Amino acid sequence: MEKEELMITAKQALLELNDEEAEHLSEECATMLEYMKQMDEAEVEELEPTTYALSDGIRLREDIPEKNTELRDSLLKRAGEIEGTSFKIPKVLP
Amino acid sequence: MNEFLKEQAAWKQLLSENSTRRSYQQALVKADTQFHALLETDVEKGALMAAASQETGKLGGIPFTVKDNIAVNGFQFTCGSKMLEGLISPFTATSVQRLTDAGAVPVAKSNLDEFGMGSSTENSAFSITRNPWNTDMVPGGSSGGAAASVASGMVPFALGSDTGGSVRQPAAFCGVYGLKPTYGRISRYGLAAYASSMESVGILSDDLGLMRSVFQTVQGKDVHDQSSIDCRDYEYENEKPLTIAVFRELEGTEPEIERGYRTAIEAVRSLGWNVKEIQLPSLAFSVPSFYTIAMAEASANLARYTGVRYGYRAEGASNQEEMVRKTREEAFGAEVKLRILLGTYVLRSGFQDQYYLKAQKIRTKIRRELERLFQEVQAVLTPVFPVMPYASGAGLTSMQQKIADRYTITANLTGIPALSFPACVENGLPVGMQLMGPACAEHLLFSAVQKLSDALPAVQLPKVITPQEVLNG
Repeated sequence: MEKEELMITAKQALLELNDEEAEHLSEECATMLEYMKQMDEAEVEELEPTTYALSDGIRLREDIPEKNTELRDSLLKRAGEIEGTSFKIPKVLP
Repeated sequence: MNEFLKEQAAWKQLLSENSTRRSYQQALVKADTQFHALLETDVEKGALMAAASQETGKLGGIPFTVKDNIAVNGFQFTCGSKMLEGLISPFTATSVQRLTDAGAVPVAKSNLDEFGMGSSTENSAFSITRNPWNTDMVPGGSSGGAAASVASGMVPFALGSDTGGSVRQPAAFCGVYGLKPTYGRISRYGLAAYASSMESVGILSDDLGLMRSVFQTVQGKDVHDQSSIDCRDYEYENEKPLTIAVFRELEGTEPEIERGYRTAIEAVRSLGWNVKEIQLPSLAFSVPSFYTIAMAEASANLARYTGVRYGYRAEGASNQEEMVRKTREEAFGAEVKLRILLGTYVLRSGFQDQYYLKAQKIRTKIRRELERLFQEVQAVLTPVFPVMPYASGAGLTSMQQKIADRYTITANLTGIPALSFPACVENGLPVGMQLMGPACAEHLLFSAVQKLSDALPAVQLPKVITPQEVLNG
């Protein structure tokens, strides 16, 4: 993968890459993409794609709200930074 | 009382009292200094969870390890990643809950390749797990900690997860049995998602009877997992000789594995079963198709790790996006980054049809080929991995590891069950084979593999712990 393509992809994936990493990953990605090209030889045009191997179809359930403050508090405890019952993050706009 | 029942009774006795539980805890910690299979060991905490059930049935008082990408309330939940270092799970996976409800005792979380991505358990952020048969060798992966915990005798069974062979391959490298069930048959609730459409919670054990009991306990539909299913068992005539499909030739497979395969085929014949030589042309595309789908799903599933709600958070970022990018840069390992990047790339507009859609169509082709095959045979016999356990730090490259998944990934792409078993020992290391069956044919696989194991040479595990020895001090 060209370095420019890699950096566009990394931006979309929200991954920061340093120069050394970018060089290494660019080579690894290129090798893998080259390998994936083998799929070009498969004759599959008329086939439907399989998204799940086995599926029972879509199942629906009632949407019933549950109040579990113990779980809420327990989850909040695991956050890097909170304020009240909100997750605190650096400012969103640069 | 046979040896197996004696051992079961000893495990139950070991877990029944504070003093013997303490001895067991010490024995586990000591044994693990050799293997680095466990990331957290807490027999007492596990015993408290199981105590609530009062269940004294088959699994009552039987200890097990849980791969550290499966949630157990109060235990750590790291997925082998710096991203989740120190995270304590606030809930329990359905598979674990059903076992503790039956009285089984989760005693430790086991090591894995980060988020299940790897075949050697060298890609963990915390330790490199060693193979109990020879500690210079890798135990396989990604459930390498689970396999080593069973092979070394620490526990009689373990829960792992299998996305492309991650239960069966380490089971093969460590000489134990490994089950990847039919997709959806064991709930994935509480399993950290990597490639959701292909992965399953799986079971490792040195005893097929115990594995069967564990499977019966954990399987079945779960309201917490939309993809979980209740299966009607695949029907076959138990008294009639089975017909087993085998490959005439194995390409790029080490001679020891080739010999193990021939040994297993001989065992099939010795049981009076029929052997049908086959070719599956579309398997040539299985590895690129599997990795395209797995990486695409991984890139979406791992997008949740941002440092906002839990886990690692990078310091010093001036805005939210920078914080997320730096968090992911600092906390993900190289293999995880590679898979996220490739997954993002194959889903990018302009490339989707070329990679992702094509891979899904190949998946259909492989599925249909197998459906046709299962009209004529009841199971397919293949090696688990084309190479023997290799030396830690000097083995296969990341690319070679992926290509070597070619025998195992078929079951993940198509959702069918597969059971790996030790076929023989070559140069002091175990050689693993697998039987793949039609959907919901786990009971056929258990029965067939039991008969095959009886016909094959016995494999003696290098156990360093037995419950009797711990009880006797």
